[in-house]
Amino acid sequence: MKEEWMVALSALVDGEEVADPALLSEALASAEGRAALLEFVRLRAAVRADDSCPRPEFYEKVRPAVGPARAWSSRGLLRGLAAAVVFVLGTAGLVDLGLRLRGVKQPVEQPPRATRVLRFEPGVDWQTTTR
Amino acid sequence: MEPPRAAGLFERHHLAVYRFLRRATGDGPAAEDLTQEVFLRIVRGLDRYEDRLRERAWVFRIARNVLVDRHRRAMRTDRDLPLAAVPDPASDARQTEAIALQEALAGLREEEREAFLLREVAGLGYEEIGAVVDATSDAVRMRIYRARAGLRAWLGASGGTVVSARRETVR
Repeated sequence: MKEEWMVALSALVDGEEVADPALLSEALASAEGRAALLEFVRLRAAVRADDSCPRPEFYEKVRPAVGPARAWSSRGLLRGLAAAVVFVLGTAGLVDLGLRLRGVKQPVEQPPRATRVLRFEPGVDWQTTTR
Repeated sequence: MEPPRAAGLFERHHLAVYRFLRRATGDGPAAEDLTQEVFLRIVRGLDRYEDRLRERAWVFRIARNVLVDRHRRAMRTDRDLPLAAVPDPASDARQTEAIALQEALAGLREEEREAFLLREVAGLGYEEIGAVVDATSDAVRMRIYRARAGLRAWLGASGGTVVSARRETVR
């Protein structure tokens, strides 16, 4: 089999650029080329069939040496604070805008004007009593 | 850009680094020691973090350097490095196959084996592998192809079930 075919098939298996598609077409048209492609795939499966992990002692030694998984830097804290302020101000602005658009009147400092007046006459409408 | 934290790098990459080194050495405890060395170097060298390399490629560049240093130390002390353990006669077929694969990997040239393992175990692309091993993408393409061509003999002979108990060593 041509070496160029094998090189093209190997690159194809890796998802890399194949410079000459015609070469690849020739390789795939041949039974030898297809067999080689299958062997590359089998080989990959064999190499990746490894679920081994380090022993627990390894983690006991290495994890403390590499430090905590998460820590806040001063820059990170400032960024978080700034994001929180922007969020609060933005939310308040949106709520205010929504209320205005819906025509909901905001409370004002002066009491509302009276729309009608009820008068009560002492001795007529009410009596003063002593107990 | 801030460099990533060592602990985060460890959590994201230590298994791939361990398996890469285990495949490259054929020795689990040695792979643990080397993985530890990789992450200690990362802790010490975070200020030299290279943005031009993808995070994973940077980690594997250090792993590769650790591996190269191990080979150099072995050469200085004139000591053979075992690449594959003798299989237990009672072990299952999968373990035997794994040992046969390890022997086949040991038979490859160093530059072909490392390019192949960086592709298959570490999952790096050709350009990233080139950055790790200081080679062009085309050179990486050829090394990986040659590794596969060399390993085809193992596949062809074994059908996945080769029984081989020879102890292979490399320098």
